[in-house]
Amino acid sequence: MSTIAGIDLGTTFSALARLNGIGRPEIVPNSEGERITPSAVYFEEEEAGAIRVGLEAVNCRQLNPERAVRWIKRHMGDLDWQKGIDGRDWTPQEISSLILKKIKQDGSIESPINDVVISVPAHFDEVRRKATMDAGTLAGLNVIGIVNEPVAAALYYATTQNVNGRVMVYDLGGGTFDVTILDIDGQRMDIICSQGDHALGGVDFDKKIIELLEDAYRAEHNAELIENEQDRAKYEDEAEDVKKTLSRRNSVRKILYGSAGSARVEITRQQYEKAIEPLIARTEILIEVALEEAKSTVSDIQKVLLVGGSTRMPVVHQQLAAKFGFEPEVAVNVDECVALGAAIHAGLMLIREDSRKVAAGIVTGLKEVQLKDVCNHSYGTICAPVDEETGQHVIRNSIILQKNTPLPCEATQTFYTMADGQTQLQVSITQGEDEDPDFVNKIATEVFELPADRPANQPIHVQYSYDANQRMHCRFLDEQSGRTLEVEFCAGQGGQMTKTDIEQTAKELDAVKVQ
Amino acid sequence: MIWIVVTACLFPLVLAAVWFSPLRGRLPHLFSLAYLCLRRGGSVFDRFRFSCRVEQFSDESQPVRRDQFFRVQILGRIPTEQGDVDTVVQIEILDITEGRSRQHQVLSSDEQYRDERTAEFHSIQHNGIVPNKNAVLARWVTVAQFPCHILRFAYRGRRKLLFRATVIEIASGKKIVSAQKTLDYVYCSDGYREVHGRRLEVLGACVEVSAMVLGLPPYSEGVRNLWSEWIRQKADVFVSADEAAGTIEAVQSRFSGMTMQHSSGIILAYGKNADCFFAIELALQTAGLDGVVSRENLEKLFLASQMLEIQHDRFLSIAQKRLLSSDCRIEEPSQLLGITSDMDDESFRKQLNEEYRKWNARVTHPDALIRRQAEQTLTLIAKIRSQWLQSSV
Repeated sequence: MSTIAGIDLGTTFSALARLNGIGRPEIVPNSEGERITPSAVYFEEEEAGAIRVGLEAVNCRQLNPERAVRWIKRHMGDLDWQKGIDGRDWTPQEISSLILKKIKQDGSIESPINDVVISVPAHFDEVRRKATMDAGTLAGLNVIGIVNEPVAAALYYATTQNVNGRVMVYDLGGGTFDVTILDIDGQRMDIICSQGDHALGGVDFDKKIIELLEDAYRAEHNAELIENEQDRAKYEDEAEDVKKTLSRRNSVRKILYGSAGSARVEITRQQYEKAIEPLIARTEILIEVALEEAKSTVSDIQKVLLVGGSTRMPVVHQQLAAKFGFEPEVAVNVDECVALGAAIHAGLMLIREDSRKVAAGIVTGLKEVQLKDVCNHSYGTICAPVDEETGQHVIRNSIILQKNTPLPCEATQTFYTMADGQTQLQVSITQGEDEDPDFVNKIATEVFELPADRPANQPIHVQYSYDANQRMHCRFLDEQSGRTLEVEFCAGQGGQMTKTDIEQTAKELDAVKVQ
Repeated sequence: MIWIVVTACLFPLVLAAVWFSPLRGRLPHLFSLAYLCLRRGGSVFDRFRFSCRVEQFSDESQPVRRDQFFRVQILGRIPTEQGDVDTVVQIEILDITEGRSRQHQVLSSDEQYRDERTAEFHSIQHNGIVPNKNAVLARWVTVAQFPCHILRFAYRGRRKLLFRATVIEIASGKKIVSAQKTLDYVYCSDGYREVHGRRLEVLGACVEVSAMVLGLPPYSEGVRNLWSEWIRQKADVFVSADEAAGTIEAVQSRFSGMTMQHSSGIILAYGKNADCFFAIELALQTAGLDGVVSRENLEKLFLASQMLEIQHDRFLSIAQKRLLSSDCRIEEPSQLLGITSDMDDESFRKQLNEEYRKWNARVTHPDALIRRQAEQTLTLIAKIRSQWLQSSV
């Protein structure tokens, strides 16, 4: 039996955890002895084919930023993003697979890592989830599932602490921010809702520090501090240090070296907190949106659990304490709990599939844990109702399965054919919250063949169902003829890479050595 | 011989009689007719002369809806140059109510009887093989029969129609013979020129709304080009660039007398249901054309949407789609997010959260442009919220 593991593939750091013999998750340190690995990749210039991942990549980055990649998670699933290195275009999946490969390599020293669950932000859509799974497959891992980061954190939290009641998980990581509200009763967890912000995390706070440094330098020398990518890489690392220091101290002094000379600057926590006010406002809005979604008020929340490195900032604690009237909980390690929870989730998934494949000690250790998840997004279909105002047919996205519906769930809606003698129906399965089809993501399009010679307005029943293993089933039924069209989805199915693409790329990447 | 003598004696007399009669104006036409007839081997007095007739009748077989039909028939000599010539018959209809020199096109709504390019009525039927030179159709032969309602005329009311039947040789495309017949017809619907005129009036009113949003003329070339293209695109029939430019000039010249209420009234009264939305779309496009939307522009846009009876939420969603982009700077963006000055704290917070929820769902869209727009809007929402927090502190 191979090791059951969970990986937190983070924007700035990644971590690996595995289940021990009694079903308790443990962090597996990397080859440098660190418990977390920076999610950075550097393609060596002088040593052809050598790829550095982790701390070494971060250190090398300032030498030649053009050959380094950081925060790749932000580009996950982005078709337009590619990094050209020595004539080869690297996709976000491939870059992520290099990070995962390094994690696998380092974690397999004691026992081989094979079956893993990778964590993703709760708001990741199907395309990004699939891209994450592909990255795992390219790294030679058997990705048995995907878990939402806040859910993973809550899983670890609930299994290690004695908690009861409504809990809010506040996950402010390196690149993303998620809020999840759940009910915990011992080892039973019911997710109520998840909300996430794709572009809010430590990286954005660092950007604000860079702006402060640039302003200070400009005020002193009337010149630009950052003139090239090398400068930028240097000050991005500096900004991260300044941010971390400001979490502990009230001010930081720095000497900045620019083309117009050096400048001694001081950045105070007050200045910093003022600069990040709009970002903190964003977190507040998301909390309120999540509370509205959960039909809860501030007073219903009994505990706030902090997850992610950016929650170390004092302003986060102050903001939450002011809002909820109590201090947030930092009972677990904010950098590691997602990986630890992902390992538990992997164990639960394998037990649910076939408990005989899992060591008896793990089965016993995890048997009490029960998790009830929700639908991460709204799913719908494109239709053409008559607009009441204009009297014309308008193309609309009609939501069939609402976001945050507890799993398993099922919903049906009836639509009608538009034209006499209509023999085909183009059915689109969409993901997104908008009514406007321009703003939703079409995740599948199929053609439903209908009988000929019938008048318009024939009812078509569209039924979507979503099970606990995140498997979605769509059924289109023509009532009059009894004809059906069935489409089945699994989390991470579809997307940019086909099975053949993955096999080919995996073979290609197999020869690549990461250090 | 006798015929030559009689013709030579009578010709000056006939000529003099015609010269002093009302037919004098048609003399060249009569001569050309006689010449053509003689050249084709026939005679002015040919009793087998090719002719056509048109009947208007109702279909008795349809008890409920008795459609009126036109039936076109031909009769007489088809003077080919050789035997065994395969032919077709082409039917044309002209509206000559205002005289032959000011004829109007007759359009068809049925694609079977329509020229693809011009939408004019157009019918070509196979006539069969003409067996020998000067073969004669001895009985009336129906060459076209179609419902009257498919025809579209320039104006409503009594129309004088000229039906022309022409026999054409298929191989060479040469016209062999033709005949025409006039018929009076009463058209009870609005003519296409009337509809077109009214359409232009509605489109002009839409441009007026945009002009009022923008402010005093003169307008830049970019704005005028946008309006001109828009008019040509939204008119249901062909509008020339000059005609569109004329409409815009007229709008500019009457700017001082224009009111939002009057222009919206025209759109609501005479326009199609969707025209209100077209008008507001144009106004938004116009407002954002130079990259800056002032507070005044935005207020007028809101006013226009109210006058055009567009629901507030609907207007916001259209305006956001059009204006909340990187290419456009809005002086008072909170209005576009549904924030009004009279909102209490709770409504303000709720509205902003609602907008955040909406745009946050778009931030992972596959289209990079939409993603960017969503990210910018989220930043804007956060900024507004943070300003509000500061002010409330």
